[in-house]
Amino acid sequence: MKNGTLIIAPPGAWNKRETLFQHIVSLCPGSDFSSVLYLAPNDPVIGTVRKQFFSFLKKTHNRSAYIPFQALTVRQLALQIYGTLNTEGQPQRVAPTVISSRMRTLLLCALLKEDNIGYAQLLSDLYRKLKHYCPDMTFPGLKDELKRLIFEEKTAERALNAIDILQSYEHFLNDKSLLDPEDMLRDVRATLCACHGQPHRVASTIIIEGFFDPTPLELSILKALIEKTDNVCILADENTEFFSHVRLYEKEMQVITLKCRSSRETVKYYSYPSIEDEVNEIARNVKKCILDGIRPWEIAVCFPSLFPYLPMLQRVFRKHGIPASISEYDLSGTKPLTALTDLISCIENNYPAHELLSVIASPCFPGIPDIVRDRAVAYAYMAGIVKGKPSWLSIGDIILHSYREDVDDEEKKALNLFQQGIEKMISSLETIKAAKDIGSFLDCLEAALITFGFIELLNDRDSQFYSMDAANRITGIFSELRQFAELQGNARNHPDPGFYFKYLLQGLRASDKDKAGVSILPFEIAAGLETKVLFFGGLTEENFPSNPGIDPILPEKVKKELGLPHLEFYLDRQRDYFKRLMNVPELEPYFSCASADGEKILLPSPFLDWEQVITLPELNIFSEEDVLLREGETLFRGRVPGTFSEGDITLSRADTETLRKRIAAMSKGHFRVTDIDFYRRCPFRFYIEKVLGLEMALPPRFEVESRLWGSLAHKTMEELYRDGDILPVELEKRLFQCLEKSLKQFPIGDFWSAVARDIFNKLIPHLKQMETVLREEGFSPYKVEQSVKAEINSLRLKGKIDRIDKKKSEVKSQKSKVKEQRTTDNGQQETVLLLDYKTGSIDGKSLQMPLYARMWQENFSGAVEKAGYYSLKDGSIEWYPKRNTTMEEFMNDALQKTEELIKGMMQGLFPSEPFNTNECRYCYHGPMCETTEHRTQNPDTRL
Amino acid sequence: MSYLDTDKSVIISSPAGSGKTEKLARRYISLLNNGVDVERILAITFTDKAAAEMKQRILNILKAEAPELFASLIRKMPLMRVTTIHSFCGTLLRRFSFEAGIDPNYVIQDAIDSRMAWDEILYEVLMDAGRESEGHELLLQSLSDNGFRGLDLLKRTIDYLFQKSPFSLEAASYIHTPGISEETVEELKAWDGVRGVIDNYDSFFEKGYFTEAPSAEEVFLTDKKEPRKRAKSGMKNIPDFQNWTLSMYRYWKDRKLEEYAQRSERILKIFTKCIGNYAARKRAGRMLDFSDLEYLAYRILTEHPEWANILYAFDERTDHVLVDEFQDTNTFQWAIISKLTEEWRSGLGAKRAEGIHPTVFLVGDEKQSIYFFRGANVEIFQGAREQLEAWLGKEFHYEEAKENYRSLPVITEFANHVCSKIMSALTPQYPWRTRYGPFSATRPGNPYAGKVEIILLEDKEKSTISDTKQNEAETLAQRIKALAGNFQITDKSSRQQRLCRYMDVAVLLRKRTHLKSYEEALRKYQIPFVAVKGIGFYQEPEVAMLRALVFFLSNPRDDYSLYMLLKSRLFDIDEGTILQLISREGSSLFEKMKAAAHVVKPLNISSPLTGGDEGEGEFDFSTTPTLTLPHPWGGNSAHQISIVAELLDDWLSQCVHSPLPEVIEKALVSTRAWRYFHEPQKKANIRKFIRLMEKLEAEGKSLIRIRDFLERTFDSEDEAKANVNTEGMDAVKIMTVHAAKGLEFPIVFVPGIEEPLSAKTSDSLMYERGGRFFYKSIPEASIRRDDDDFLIQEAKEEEEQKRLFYVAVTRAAEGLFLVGTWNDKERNFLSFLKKGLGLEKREGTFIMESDLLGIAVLTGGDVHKLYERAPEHKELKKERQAIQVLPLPAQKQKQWRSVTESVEIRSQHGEDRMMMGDIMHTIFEWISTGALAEQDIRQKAEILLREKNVPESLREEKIALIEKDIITLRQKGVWNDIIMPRENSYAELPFTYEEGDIVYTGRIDRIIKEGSVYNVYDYKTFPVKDKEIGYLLKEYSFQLHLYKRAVMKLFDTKEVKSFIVFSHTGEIHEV
Ligand code: SF4
Repeated sequence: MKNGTLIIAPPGAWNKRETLFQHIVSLCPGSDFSSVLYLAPNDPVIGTVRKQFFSFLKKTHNRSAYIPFQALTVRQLALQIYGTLNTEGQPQRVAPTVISSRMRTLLLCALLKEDNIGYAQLLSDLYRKLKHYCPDMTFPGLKDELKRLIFEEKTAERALNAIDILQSYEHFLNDKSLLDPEDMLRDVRATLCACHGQPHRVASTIIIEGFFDPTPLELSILKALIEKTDNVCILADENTEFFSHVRLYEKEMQVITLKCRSSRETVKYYSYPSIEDEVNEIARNVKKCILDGIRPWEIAVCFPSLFPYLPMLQRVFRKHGIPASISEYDLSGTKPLTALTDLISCIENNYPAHELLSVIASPCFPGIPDIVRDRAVAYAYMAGIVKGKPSWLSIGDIILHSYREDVDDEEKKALNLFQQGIEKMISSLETIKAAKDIGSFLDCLEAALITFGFIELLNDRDSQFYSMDAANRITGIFSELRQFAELQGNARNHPDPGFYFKYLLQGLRASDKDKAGVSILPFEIAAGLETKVLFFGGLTEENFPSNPGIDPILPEKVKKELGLPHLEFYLDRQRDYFKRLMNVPELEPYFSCASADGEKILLPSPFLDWEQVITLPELNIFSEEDVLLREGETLFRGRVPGTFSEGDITLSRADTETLRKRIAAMSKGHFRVTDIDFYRRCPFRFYIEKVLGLEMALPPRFEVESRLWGSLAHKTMEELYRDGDILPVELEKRLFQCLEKSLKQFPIGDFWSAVARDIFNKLIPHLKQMETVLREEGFSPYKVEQSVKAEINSLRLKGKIDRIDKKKSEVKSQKSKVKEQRTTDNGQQETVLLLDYKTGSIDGKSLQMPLYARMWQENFSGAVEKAGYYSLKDGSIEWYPKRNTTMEEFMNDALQKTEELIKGMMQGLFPSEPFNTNECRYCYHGPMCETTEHRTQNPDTRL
Repeated sequence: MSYLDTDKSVIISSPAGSGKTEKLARRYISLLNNGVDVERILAITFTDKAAAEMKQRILNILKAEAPELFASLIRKMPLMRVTTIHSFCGTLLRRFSFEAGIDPNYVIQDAIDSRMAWDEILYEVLMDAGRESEGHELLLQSLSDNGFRGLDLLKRTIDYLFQKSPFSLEAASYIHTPGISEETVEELKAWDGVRGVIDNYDSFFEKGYFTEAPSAEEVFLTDKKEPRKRAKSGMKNIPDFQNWTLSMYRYWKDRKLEEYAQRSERILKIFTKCIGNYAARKRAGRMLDFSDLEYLAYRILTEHPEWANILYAFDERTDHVLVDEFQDTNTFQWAIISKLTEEWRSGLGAKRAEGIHPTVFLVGDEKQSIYFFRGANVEIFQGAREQLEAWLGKEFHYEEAKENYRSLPVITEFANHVCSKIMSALTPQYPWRTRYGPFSATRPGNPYAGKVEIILLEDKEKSTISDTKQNEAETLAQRIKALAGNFQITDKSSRQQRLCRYMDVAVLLRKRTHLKSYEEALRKYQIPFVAVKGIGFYQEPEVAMLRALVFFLSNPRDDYSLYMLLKSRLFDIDEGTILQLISREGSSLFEKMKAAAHVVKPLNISSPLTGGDEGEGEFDFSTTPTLTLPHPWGGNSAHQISIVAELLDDWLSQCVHSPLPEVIEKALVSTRAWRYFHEPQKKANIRKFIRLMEKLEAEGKSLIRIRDFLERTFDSEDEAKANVNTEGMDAVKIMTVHAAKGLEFPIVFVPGIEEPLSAKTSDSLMYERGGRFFYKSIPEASIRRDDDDFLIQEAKEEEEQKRLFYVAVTRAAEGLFLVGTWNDKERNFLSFLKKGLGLEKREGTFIMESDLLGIAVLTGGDVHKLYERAPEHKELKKERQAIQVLPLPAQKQKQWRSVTESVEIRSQHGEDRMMMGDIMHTIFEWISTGALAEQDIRQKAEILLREKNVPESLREEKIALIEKDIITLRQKGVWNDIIMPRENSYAELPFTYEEGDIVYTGRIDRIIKEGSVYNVYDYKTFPVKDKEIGYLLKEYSFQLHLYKRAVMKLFDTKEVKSFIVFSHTGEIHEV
């Protein structure tokens, strides 16, 4: 050092940077500042320094074009110096290539026996700390130390193991002629220390600013630079670790102590009932500042742990129209990365419905055909897909053949195109799945991403995703993984390359570095800031000071002995930063915390003086949302409007006309008895499901739908007696033949077919018994699936009776059916019973049987002796009418009810009055008719 | 006080209102006072909330009484271990992550996510079981046993087991030991006369007969499946018929039990498979679920006790354990605590040798154990006392608190009186029975102060449950109305007498079934209320509306969700319009809407608050509106539909890039629907939903996967409604007794005292005996009815209800009101009163045997009279002013733009070219500055390629490309003229240059000053074809002109020329 200046900044010092800038300008009179190197601890500080220097030059020298100084972090400078080592130092020697710290984690993970990436991260972190805090210690030396320090056997074993892994990692790098980034720092330090005089390619003037507590390794690099560079200017904050070191140069330097206002020892803080309230209040206050004339970039907002607050912070700021510039955010929740993660999960887990649908629907894959995107969700739900390539490949068939009979041509065409699109997609994903090693995995993945338009989209300047710089980062992952694959060689063909890919995706970060607005940043960085206004939120006991987390490798005591950062170190550091932050802003800082997060109670940070809590006067700053809420309070004072249109469904006269037409179209002149029954059970539900024909798309279920079971069982029973009665000994054989026939009609897959067979197998004894009883009573099957239509008292009804049995003497063979019908029309009396097959539970109040009985009589003028629900669920028949009612009463009662019901229906009355509150239990319209309470499945669980 | 003796381990049985938390805090402090390090004390609470409160309490006491200790504790706050058992276990697992093979950065999976994963696993296992032969059989049996609903039932049973984890993991199958001996069978076979009347009598004793001949049972069983007392016709001749049926019944039952035991076995097998796969999936995703924490910690401590030494090495030993709410501890939790203290408890161990006197301090109240359904085992309380007594002898202290600081004497007397009668004395064979120890009121003042009122309504014949509930709820409302503003209470903070307000009243429900009735009645009587800590968040209409919005956004063809939206307050479209719409032609409702929208031209809907045409929808705030406001955009229905379609379209396109929560907020603002949701609970619910969406998105869930998440919420009833801050709100609070635990209120209402205690039992049972867990399933209700395990379970549940009653009544400080409808049934709260007070109904009036003072029995009529006579209570009303949004001034800040980045080459020329470009630029720069000698180019290129991760195999080829370009450049003279070092030149010159509102930054590849002229060169290193040149020059002219202007300013000159150098061809073009 030839010339040195030490600027000392006591707490509360102001104009720190301006002093430095003046110094720089005094050194370089023109507009060329390229001889200056500005060293700062992190990127955000570098960013602001550049901008502030521009403003400074503009203001003081009215200069708007210049050759700027280089501003770097220690690591960046070291890399630059390292880059010159090859060619300049010893041109013959090829210095090893520096890998990234993420690569370190990957390699460590590969060195571990299992894919414990969390443990690999811990090891990676330990490596970094060892290199920084014990720069002169070797691994064998360290192991001796550990043996000395740890008595407990298991713990020692664990720690030594960890060091072994680190050591083998280092050997591995040596073998491959690679260098860990921390070791690069070490090498640069050595080079700097070894060189005589000004280090080559380092600017002749360096400015060092913003360092509080550099690690020993960083400090030694800084010291070497200070000693070897011609002109040095250091700005150090008093009471910092760094200051205590640079003080040693005091004698050789010109010392300037900055003026300061009286430093703040304690601050007031605000407490809010919830986190959302806290963020909202911060936003309101920020807005107030801006309205008072403070410029957004003069305001900084920070949190002890920023990431959890970020989404809310961004949302609330946008709500208030406040521009924000974020120092660093996590890309992993952004759409492109979500899309990529889903794509890989799709391949790994055999195309689960929601993952594949996410890929299809993602805006980041514009290459997927529109038809696929538009219809995927609807079709997948219709076909009930849970997962699996075969399901996706047969989606069209499933929809066409088993679920919808009324698919029109246009729909068929769409379905066809859709199917083709899906097939193409899956086939390109299959290539990735089939990839044998990481390299080909990456090649196929890249190819697929090109096909799906992903790469192009991210590189498109007009796309919304461009600004995230995601393309660069994702390219980085590809190249890093390729390097990893090459390093691993053929020795290890990892079975799951997606695992590493996903890990790398998780760590991606981005920043709004060129955006103008309120700066939002983590507190460590804020501590080195100069700002007019500072908001420091989230000051709760669990966040601040934060606990560095559990380290299962080295006990705290051992770390302390070794000089590694340990719990106390972290706590003290946070306290220091907190104190510094109190003095950072020009105006009184605004500290705050929330007292609850949902159910959770939060205590204020112990750093705060709990006596100093204040509540803020209500600000006159509101969002549109606040205005509307206030309006609502005034308008509906004390009354609570429902969420869905008031009351039950009511239709105007004109609309009732439409309704009638709809109902008429639905029933084609005759009301379906089952529909009337449906209406009876709950008119509201009837309206939605039958009149409007709307059903909620429920998540794909992995069982056969009860409706399909029903159809299958009905079909089987229908087949059984299609040609009249059969001998009891034939029953079993016949039944299974019929079942096979129905299974062809309702393809439910091998597995469920087997279940169906088994169910019928179990039913057989019951069936035999029921049928025997019927025969004993003199009845035997006569007709099956008989459609009936009738007009009774101007009511026009229709329906289908599952089965009619006739007293034995009256049964004729099926062949003479037509003739016989004629004879009955001629008035011959016959006695029958009606049966309805049920696979579910039986509703004794149903109108179905009495109406069928009446309709049967109307058509065939025969006497219906009784009507029964033939349960295929538990193999029994429940007969109606019950003992104290006659068949006549039973039928007339039903008829009367039907008349009333139809009247109501036609008048547009659809109240949410279920016939039985149990209806609501299995009904999902609850929120709409606001009868959610009925839904309660098990009241005791609703505590 | 002896419980503060820090040399002793202590158990305190501390009844309601006796200051349990205070005692625990005091104990903690006395440990600190005795010099115990804060990190040596572990205090376990039941909830996070309780932990925070406990910390607060400790700090507050210290601050007031021992400022120095307070200051030092504050410094060590992060070391303070006041936590729930779950988070304690969580830390333990991280500590042992290496040994346990857990990723130390594991994530805790939330309930719905684990449900999703579980469902998928179940699917896979069931399907796999369908493929494997053994599993297939297992599954088939279980499925077809129950006919068409087989899977449903099977799934439900397996889910039941899943819910009971971690106990289920320990559960062993119920092993049936046959109860019928061979002799009995022989005896039955030989029974006189049976063979004569039953044809195939011997078949009864064949395996499977009862399944194959289902009606066979009718011979000896009634419909209710009880042994027949009278013989059916044709069987009269069986001698000793009743004994025969009885024996047959026993035989039949035994057969059934055998069958059920096999079934349970099968189910457990399937379950075990599922749980195994589930664990594997969690491991792969680095996840644990909630129940893992406890279970794994338990296993670690019990299976590897030697690992505890590791805790010592990490200086994490615990010398003192304090447990709050000890009565709610489950078996695993106690095992964990017990293990932690085992070594030193036994009087041996290293600690004692070091002179440390470790202790446990357990505080709780057996009578308040109300979490049996979650696995809490009340027996542990008594058991722990016996164990500690045996282990520690004189070093153990047991204390039973007797004082009640909360309730007035009449209430404590009432509780003592009733509870001591319904709770039995401790019986060794039934350790789960609750024992009652009376307490006494210690609040100063009148010994007859306080009020207990039992309000009994008549049960009208034939009235439905909902009528009864409505009647009851109205009576409750009337009673509250009559109390508010008329009943004297003592204010807790000021200790002054004052009239009560609504905020002093709490209505405590045993369960939420009839919540709606109470809410309706309170509304009817205009009594403000909040339902506190209600659950069923996802079933709330406003939440369902937002869910429909998410569904629609994720699938615009979802007609049902769209219908919901149209009907909701977002749009309030009338039913007729929707009906008309649906009746149109089109493939989806949204398509139909868009088609209809073409008919009319939509209005400008920028934002209804800041402008835009509001048309006919202008509001008139002077009149009281109905509960439906006119549409913000007014107009007829066709007009509305067109605007709605436009809005929906807008939201859909926003979803592409904006976060979902913002789209939802926008929806609520742009439709002005927020106005309908101003009510605190609704507002809070909506905010909670938005926050939830935010969290899900931040976790990286796509819209579709959020949809998937929400789909699971239809049936998930246990999510709590959003917390409403009730502070300062003059409203009655309604909550469950469970939610009220630990709280107190001046006035408490307990309605529905006649409701039956428990719901029907299910056929599955997971139960605990002597610290072990068993599973059994008995589908046949009649057999279940006299199964010991089911019976004990039922009895335990009844005991729990007694405790629930105790908790409910002891929440009241000043007045307690029990409301119900008289009936003669057993097993309800009313029956407790009958037993405890001798309450009965005689000739239409209610009579109470006990002569406790201050307890009154009122009828509905009495309440009605009180209501009519009570003077009107005036509510506090705050007038609120209208407010507005202030616009922010437009802000101008210089925009910073990097010039090089603004030139897009990547998309045109690919990544590879980008990388090669970088390398070429670096080489040129180094050559120009003289840092690189020409002969070292190859080596430098090699290094650069390696740094860029270019595989070795490709490097040679790349280097050849570079060398080829250099040869071309040499041939064309560019190399010598431009790239080689020159006087008055710059390479890679950085610049900052302001133009207009933009500050440009960048680097200029090369500047060479020839005479007075500055020549600016920009290198383009990608291959170009001749025909592209014109286009490229145009493309880059902006960049080059910018460079030119920057150089003019930098060097204060007008003489600047700019050129593009195509390194591939060596051509130079002036721009
Ligand atoms: S929830 Fe109940 S009332 Fe509402 S539609 Fe369904 S069945 Fe009807």
